[in-house]
Amino acid sequence: MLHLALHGDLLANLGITLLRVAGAFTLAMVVGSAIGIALGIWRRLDLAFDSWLTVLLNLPALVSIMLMYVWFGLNEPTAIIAVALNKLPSTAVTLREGARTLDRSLLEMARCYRMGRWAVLRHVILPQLTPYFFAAARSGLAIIWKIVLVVELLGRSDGVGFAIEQYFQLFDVTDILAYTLAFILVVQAIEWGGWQPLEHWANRWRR
Amino acid sequence: MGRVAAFGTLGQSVAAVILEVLIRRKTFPGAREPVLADLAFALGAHEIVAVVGPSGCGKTTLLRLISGLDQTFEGEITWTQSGPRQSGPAPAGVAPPRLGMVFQEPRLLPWRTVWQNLALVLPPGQDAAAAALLKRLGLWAERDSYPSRISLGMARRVAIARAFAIAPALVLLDEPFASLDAGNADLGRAVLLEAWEARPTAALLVTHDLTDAAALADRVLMLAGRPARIIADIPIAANERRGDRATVAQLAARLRDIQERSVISGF
Repeated sequence: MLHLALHGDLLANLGITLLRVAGAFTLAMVVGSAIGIALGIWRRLDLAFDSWLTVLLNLPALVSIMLMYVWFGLNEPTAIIAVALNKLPSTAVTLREGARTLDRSLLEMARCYRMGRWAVLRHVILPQLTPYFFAAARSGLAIIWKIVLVVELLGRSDGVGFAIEQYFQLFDVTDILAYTLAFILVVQAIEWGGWQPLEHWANRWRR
Repeated sequence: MGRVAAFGTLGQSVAAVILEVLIRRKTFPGAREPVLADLAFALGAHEIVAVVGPSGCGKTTLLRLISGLDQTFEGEITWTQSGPRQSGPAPAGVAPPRLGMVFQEPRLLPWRTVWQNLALVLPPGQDAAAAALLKRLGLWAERDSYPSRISLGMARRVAIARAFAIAPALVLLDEPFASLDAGNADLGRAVLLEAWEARPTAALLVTHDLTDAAALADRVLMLAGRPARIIADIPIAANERRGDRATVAQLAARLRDIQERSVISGF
């Protein structure tokens, strides 16, 4: 693995994959959260889009990726959107559950004291949703990792997925494992250096 | 305004009417009988009015109507200083005045500090006065604490401070001392008076506890029946208002008498 890192293109491939992961993750979290919160708050919207969400939730990743590539071409934005599309519905579902359990009494308080729309979102609604947000983010990163590799394998000429496919054709188990290990290290680093401090900060008000 | 005759008498100390409440009927969806009917009264600036009545008689509903949290009723709630508000949504251009609200529970945002909880609802230019109020209520040292780190009694005090800090035209209080034992309720009432003296406003206090009414009110409205109506409107004489412990106890006993007599004769 060290050899690959120093002499091969592991770092380059890992970097490009990470960028894709970051792009798809951000897209899926932001759009998915917005949709989920909207569905949780407005019941009518929920009734209208519930079945669509179920369809999207159960669409096989392979199908959505291929359709996206066929419809929009083998390019970078398509790859990222295809990945995001696979995470988006589950983020929306998680955040919708959160938005359904919002504390009505605090919303009433905000209304009595005439807090503005954005102030309510920022100070009353979003803080209540942080546990759901973290749950969605953790599972989301895991799923997106996996799907980015598939997307790379199918339609990109760089990145970890592409590299693994090449090693697969050579039956080069050592290098596949090296890539996998590199992967695991990065994920652990994100858990320890990213989520945990962030979660600690978000929960600072708890007893 | 010919309607004025329909309103109850005002306490002697009242300078100007700020609010006229006329509720012809309030019925909850699906209910056969209305909760409130033919209920009318007016509220003066700087007046503390206690609305007393048995639990479940519709006192909280009355507060929700006045606060605008519930807008489905027949009648009119008229803010005489900033224009009228009919039942249903407020007409364009007429803003009801600022209201402070003290709920049965503190209802502070747990993820914001004591000071942030106030600052989030303060109108511009009220920061210094709010800080002064926190100091006066003994909360200044806890301004950077989260609500989960202070005692429940203190959180209640913060909720009272918040209601008065926004320089409201009216503070609505919904059984603010209901879940406290006698000693802490005394303390709560003292804090409320302290806040009211620091920032004099009209206050409407809903309570089932006649001691609350006797200790705080300029005027007591008694509600009873189904649908609830005002069965008595009792101005408190100046020498009995917000008196010492013995005065309060005596007054509370007298109010209890009136309540029992009215209930027996009227229902």
